[in-house]
Amino acid sequence: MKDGAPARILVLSSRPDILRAVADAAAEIDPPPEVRGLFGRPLNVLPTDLILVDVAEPRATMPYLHRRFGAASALVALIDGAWVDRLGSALAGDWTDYLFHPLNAAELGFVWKKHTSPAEAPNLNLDVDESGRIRVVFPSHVRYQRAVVERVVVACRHLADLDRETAFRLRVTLGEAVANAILYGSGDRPGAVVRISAKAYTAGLRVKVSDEGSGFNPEAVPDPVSAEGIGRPRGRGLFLLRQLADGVAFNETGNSVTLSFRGAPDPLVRIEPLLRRFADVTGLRFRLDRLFEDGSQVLFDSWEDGEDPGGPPEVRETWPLGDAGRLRLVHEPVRRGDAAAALLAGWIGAVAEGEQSQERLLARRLRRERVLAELEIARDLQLKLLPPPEDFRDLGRIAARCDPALSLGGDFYYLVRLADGCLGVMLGDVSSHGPSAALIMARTLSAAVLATGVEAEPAAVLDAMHGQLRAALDATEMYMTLFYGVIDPERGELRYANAGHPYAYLLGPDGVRRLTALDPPVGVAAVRSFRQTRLPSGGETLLAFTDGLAELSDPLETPDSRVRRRIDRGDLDPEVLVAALFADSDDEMRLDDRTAVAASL
Amino acid sequence: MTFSIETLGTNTLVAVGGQLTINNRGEFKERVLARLAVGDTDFVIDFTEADYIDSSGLGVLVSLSKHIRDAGGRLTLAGLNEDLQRLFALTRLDSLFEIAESRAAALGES
Repeated sequence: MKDGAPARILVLSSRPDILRAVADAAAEIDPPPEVRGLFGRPLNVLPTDLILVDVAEPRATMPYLHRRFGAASALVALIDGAWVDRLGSALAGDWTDYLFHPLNAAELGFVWKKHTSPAEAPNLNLDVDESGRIRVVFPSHVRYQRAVVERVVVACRHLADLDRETAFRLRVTLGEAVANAILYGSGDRPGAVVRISAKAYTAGLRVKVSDEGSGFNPEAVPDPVSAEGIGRPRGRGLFLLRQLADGVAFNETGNSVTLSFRGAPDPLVRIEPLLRRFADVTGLRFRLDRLFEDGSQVLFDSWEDGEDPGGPPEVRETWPLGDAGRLRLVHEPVRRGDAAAALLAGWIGAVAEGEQSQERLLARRLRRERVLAELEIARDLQLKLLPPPEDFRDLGRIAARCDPALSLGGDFYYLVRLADGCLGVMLGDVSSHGPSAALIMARTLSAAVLATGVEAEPAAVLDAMHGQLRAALDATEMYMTLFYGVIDPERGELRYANAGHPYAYLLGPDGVRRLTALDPPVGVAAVRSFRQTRLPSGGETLLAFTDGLAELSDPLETPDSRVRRRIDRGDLDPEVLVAALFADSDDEMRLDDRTAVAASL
Repeated sequence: MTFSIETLGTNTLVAVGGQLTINNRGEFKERVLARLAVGDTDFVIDFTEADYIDSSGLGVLVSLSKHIRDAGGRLTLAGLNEDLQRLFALTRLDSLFEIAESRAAALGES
């Protein structure tokens, strides 16, 4: 073990029987390693630790595990043998090794010895410096190649916001460049290393791979797609680099190659041009334009009735927009587009259609949940549907943050600029997680956009939204808590309606007022009309957050007492409040969405 | 990477899971060649559960196809995902290999 650091077996599973089985099996290893459950417990992970991941845990996705545990630890899939249906997807992950439950002590011992020997645990951690440059130096051996490449790709996706297609090209080309550096550059003599550095620029991403070899002449490599080259087993690496990277540059010696990728947005997702009137009504066009600033393919289009639509022939779906024309889906997107389009179509469709056909549309979307497999991308998209608080900074101090626990969540907030310098602040929490909750969330958001555009008073807004959402909530057996407040600085008051949302407060120098629920959650009981109330408020801070931020590690503390504690400290600034709420509940293993919004005008 | 080899009728079915790369191509090649050595001729390599093949992996497939052809046999690749299809198209290897959409199609054809 490295540096004499104690090595442990960490178990990521919420099943006590699994934890017990691992502990029992580990007791038979000589000397027995320490076994600890990771569930719900933030824990410093050491490079020597072996991590057993119950693949049935909702968070057991490769991107999450790589983010959470970094590169140095061995990730072993723990698969319950009884769940055959999980097997395929579990085996497809990039696991260091596999174990099956019921657990066999000999197998655990074997895996333990194999993955915790010093030779198997070099430091593959990525360093990120202040300028955002990623660096990694690792032993020149093919056995580290995939792990390093995957880690760099994951890091670059976060650093440079790469779309899926670019991430694929990076993955392939970096794999080839690193393999070349190991095989023909540094070689596998002891102590030899390969270096990677990567940095995102506005124009794109640059990744440099350097080895310790004497270099080579890239011009001398024969063409692998020529008639004589195609049958040869070698010579494809360099070809793939040139085909898939936007730029390939070798240094003069030939022992360092820089790959560059343009920061083009996903060309498959392009919204254009929405009917002007429709866009004006909903503010949709603006939001969508911001989502996809550039691109080449048309996803949605619209045209007036009686007009020749022309354009691309592949019209996949159309939705009538009443007297405003039609909206059509003209390109069936793939991969990234599927997730994006499913969410967007749910959203746009919800705005565009009458209630009955909305149900059909929603049902169809729900059936297409499988399409939402690219959850990370859908999550980005979902978060981008929420209005950025910066857009309202001229009105006052405003902060908001939404952090879904699973890739897709049912939490949302909404901010809307109203007449006379008023600000509408909405926060909702759908009683479920995952894609179906996200679709309800997207529909609620579209209902909020419509309702706040028509109605001025909070209760009337909730009434209108309830009318829009009632059938969908009934059909899915979901409900949601919903808070909507209007801060009116001119009259010096806050008007609000609250359907069952427990965590809404007005914070001022005089103390904390809880903005108690005036009605049950939406979807729980038949509500004819929602109530609203008004409170004097001049410069006070409106704060609302969801369940995920209310769960506290200290059982003696309540959400109320925590908010009071913040006031005692004088934390009234929205930014400070929101950041503090998230910091207090920063539990990596949490299973609930977390959203908070705070505003002070 | 995981792979399994089984005999289905006259075919030898090789199922590849995960990644076929520089790190495991050697073992993969040896195991397929071992089956060729004992007289198997018609090979189907199923990539349904595979998500990545690097240039070394492509190289091994080229080399195997030559060995199998030389022995009078036949090699069919099946279940290539979108990314893998793109790699085969880029390297023009889609013209060198017989490629079936799925394992079932590959087994049914021969």
